[in-house]
Amino acid sequence: MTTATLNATPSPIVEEFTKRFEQQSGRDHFCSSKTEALSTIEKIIAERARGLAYFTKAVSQMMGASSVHSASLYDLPSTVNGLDIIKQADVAITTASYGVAETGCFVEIAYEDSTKLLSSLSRVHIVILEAKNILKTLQELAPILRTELSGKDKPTITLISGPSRTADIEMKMVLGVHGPHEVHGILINE
Amino acid sequence: MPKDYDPLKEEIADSISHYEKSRALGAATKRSRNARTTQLLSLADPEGLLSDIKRLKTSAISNLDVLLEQFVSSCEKNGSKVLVAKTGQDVVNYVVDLALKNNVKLIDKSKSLTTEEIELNHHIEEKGINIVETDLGERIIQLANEKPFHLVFPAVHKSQKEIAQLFSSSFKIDVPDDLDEIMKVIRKELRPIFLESEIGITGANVAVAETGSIVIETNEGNARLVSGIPDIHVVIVGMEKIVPTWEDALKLAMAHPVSATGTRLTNYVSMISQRRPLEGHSKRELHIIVLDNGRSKMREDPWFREALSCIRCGACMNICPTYGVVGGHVFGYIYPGPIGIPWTEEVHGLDKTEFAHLCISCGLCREICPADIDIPMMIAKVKERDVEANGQITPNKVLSRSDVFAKFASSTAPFSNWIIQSKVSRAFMDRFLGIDKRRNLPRFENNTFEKRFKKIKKAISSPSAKVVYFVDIFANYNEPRLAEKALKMLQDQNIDVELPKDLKSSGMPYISYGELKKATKIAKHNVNILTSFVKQGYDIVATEPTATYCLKEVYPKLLDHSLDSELVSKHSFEFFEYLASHSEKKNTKTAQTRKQIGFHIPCHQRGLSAGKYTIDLLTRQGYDVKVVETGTCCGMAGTFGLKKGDIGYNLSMAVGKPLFDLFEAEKTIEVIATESSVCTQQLIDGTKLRLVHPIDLLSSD
Repeated sequence: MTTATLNATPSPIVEEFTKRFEQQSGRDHFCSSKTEALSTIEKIIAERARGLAYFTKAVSQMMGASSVHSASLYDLPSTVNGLDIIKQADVAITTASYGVAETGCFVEIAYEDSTKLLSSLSRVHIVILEAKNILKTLQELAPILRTELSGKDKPTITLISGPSRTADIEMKMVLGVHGPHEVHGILINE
Repeated sequence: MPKDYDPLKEEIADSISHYEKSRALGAATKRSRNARTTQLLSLADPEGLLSDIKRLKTSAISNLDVLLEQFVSSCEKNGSKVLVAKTGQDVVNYVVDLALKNNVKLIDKSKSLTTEEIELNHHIEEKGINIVETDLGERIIQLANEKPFHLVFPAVHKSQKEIAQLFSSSFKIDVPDDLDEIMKVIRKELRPIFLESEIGITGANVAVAETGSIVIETNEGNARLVSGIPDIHVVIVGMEKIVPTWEDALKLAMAHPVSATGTRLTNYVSMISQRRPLEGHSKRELHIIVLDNGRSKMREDPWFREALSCIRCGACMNICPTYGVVGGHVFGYIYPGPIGIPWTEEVHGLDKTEFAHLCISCGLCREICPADIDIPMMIAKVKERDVEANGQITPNKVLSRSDVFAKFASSTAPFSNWIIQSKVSRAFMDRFLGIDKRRNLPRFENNTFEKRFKKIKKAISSPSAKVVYFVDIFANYNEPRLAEKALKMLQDQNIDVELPKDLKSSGMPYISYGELKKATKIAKHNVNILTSFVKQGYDIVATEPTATYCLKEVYPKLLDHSLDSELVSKHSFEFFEYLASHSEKKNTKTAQTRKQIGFHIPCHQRGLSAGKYTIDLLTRQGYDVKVVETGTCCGMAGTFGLKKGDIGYNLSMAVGKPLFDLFEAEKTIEVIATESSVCTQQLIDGTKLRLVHPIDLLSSD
């Protein structure tokens, strides 16, 4: 866990969330503003990226389009075949609508499969979450799911707890099987 | 002629001879068990989670017809195509048609036991369509052309080296025995499969009726790709997976990994309700196939209905003593392990369920099951059907009638002892009765406890309590001396003890060997007698843990939870449990005199007190008690370890070996205390230590 500023001291719920997420080999970064979040993301990319970094539309909506474009990131463009673009991504930057402290997971709500595939296929996954949206227990998510799935368009919702993993060979844990080898949580506590 | 089970025996012998493999499997299952316990204890309310699982599954199964209708209609509203498939063949036909219609050449899959159940891959490959598993463990199994060894860890029996060799020969490249290199190879092999597959097939861990959604849990994230990339996503889900609400679904999403691997949540939990668009792909389809394949029939059968509550966590195979030695290829058809017995019998047929005879009736699968499924009784029922269809084998016939044999041997003792212990007759018994000649047999007493009782029973004028002593075989015919001490200990507390004349022994051996009708007859007989005593204010105690287990857990099940059986169950206690609540707690010796003593918890005691009252009393008496355990059975399992050969003595000793080793490694322990007569025999035969009954340590005589 990295805390950039002192006044971003996390609440007990956020603390539990981070503890659990990091036990699952994820890494959280605390930011007290969107600006700080952006510079943290840029720093992670500078340190970890080996190829292109793409972000979803939800990221620009959340962070403000102009600020995102000023950073050296690639928007996920509309193309003839979304898959071709996703295949090139080394780093995925996506948003989570909620977090769950009890299990340390991010809740990704995807209306398009490009979002889900971006966070599934890239090597490094950076997921942005507003700390105020962290729920205490998994059960609190049930009514939220009901609401999210009440409209005509029903998103695919995924709980993401850390990097892709397996213990299928001699029960030895390996990270980064098919999907992300590392997952960075950007927690914005404004 | 009853079946000889020779192929099964050969497989067992082969497993036992590969000791290192068994040892590795045992270590893996133990690790999973320990992780499970640790994670459960870390939860705010572990008991709450487990009781919620039982409740919600029971309720979902009883409302299954309504839920199925609701699920189908919700899915259709979401625009998904739904098929309720009666049989596996219906699923195969649907998927093959879909593939042919769309000219599909490549299908990828994420892990699904339901598709294993119907051998989908095999049928699709027959049509010339390439189908590739993307879960690492399943891919290994697919390349090796095997069936899953374990529900959760399908390839746990393969060493890294074997996997490197398998990949080398399958992919025609040189793969070194190095985990990172192996991972690079599998990643490179599967990436194009993910990107080029035209149909993606997944299972579902849960189906949610209220929104027509399915939940898929994977740690690797492969199901996200399988369900996201191909334009056609096919979900195949067993109908027992449907729950009404998201509250229930999320409880299951937590219970699955907690009970399976000891983690709180599976790494990726995908909740899919509708096919989502992808730019450049105009035709995106979601097909949901709900599979029956015998499940409706199971639901109608009171003996097997509960099996539908299985959440497929694999905990029962992690604790099963014989599975831990032979693994899922011997202990399984497609569904392995304890719960695999009722499931195989119901969906694949009795002829595929020979491996039921590997069950030694220890009952541990029930103790660990998060849905509290009475797996042991279902297995007993499967054994009964097997006996009805194929006849009873001789040793089972002999040993299920242990009570008759004991009575006879005792009445003819000491002559019978001389016969039983002689080499010639042991050779005869080995050959013709199937009682292994290597096993030490206990001696029989002519002067049984029943005979002694009248002489030593004290008349107590104003007793503090009244009990029936359920004496059972061993304490009556083999060690009446122990029963006498037990009687005295009770009478010393001013407790009035009765020994009803016509009580039969517990009948547990009949259950172990699938003779449920006889077991039920005994249960009825004993419950009738005991009920009249309970109604006069008596409780019931037994010194043999299996006897208490029968009275409390088994009789009610056999007697369909009749009021009387439940009454008897409620009033039945373990000997030391009863004694502890009817005597003053006092410490009699000081810490300096402490003598270390090893303690073995019999399996049937685990479902009762797990020995806590006995351990407490021993500690108060100044003993330094150390529980030595593998967490599973010692291997004797009633009379199982008496039987000759591989479905008996050999397997019994292989199961016991890790426990024997643990006791041997305890340098300061010279004496083992345990309350079970059969565990005592096993530990005498398996270790060099002295065995005592806690009664011998705690009685004042």
